[in-house]
Amino acid sequence: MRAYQDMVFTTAARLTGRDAQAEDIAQEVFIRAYEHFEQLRTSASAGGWLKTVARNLSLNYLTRDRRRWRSFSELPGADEEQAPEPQIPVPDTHLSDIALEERRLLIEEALSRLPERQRLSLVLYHFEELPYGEIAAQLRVPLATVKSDIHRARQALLKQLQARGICADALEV
Amino acid sequence: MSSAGEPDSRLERQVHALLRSLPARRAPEELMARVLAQLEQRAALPWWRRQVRQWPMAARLSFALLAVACLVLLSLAGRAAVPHLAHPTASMLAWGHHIQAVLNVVPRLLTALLGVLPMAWLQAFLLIGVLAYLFLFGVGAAAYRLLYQER
Repeated sequence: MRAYQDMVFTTAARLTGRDAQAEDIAQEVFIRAYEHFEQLRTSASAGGWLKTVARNLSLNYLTRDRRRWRSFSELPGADEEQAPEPQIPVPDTHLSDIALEERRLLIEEALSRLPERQRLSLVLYHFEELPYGEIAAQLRVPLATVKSDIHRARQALLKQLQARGICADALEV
Repeated sequence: MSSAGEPDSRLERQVHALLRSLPARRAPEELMARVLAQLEQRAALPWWRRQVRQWPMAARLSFALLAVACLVLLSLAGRAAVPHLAHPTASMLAWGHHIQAVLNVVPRLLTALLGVLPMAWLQAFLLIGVLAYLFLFGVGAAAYRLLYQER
């Protein structure tokens, strides 16, 4: 469990965008793993199993959450596209000047500030490495929506990070 | 990964490198303790309070037999209650008649109430109901926006 707890928690935290929920989900993942202990103990793909369960539980949680709040979220003005951009002060720093931990926090924060659907699509694509089609199926949205969400999320993310002095060019491989 | 143009591809590479450079988040220290406590709590539960698939085999078999016995008894009771309908669904039909009789009372009761209460009262009740609904919906929406969506 110790070997996988960070991975499971990270998966849930990035998908849900909430640490408290991620902790609950991680707990449930390990309880399920305990129930399947005999199969997982000898399996070489235990890590993949845990990651998949964490992803599915996170998506289930978000679906339930969205359904619960749908009536409020769909009020006029609550549209994700119309959400005002967060006002971020621009520090006079560059990548080389920002401590690694601070940079990580800034990126995680920028990620969590994205509208939910954009963040989900982006995380599923870049971290979970799911193809567009599978993301569309998981989120039950059209393929074109997934592509445009991911594109917008990338732009919004870079914009936020550039405003905080993180230069993505420096990381490009 | 993307089949879009060059700027898209560059953006994708930039974001991919940026995100993949992130180390895994550290799980909270208390996660393991929480999991173990939950497992202990579940293990301490008596078998009848666990999920059915975790019940002992004898208990599962007994439960299945009991369920079948109940179905048979219900079917026999239905036949006894409505002897002229010698059909397994007789008991269900008998229940259907009872439910229909109860449902028939509701519109009659409403009609009687409408006849007794003055129209102004009814309109006032309706208005209060609509206003209360709108007020609660507004409070809920405001609370969601302020307390929940911002987190």
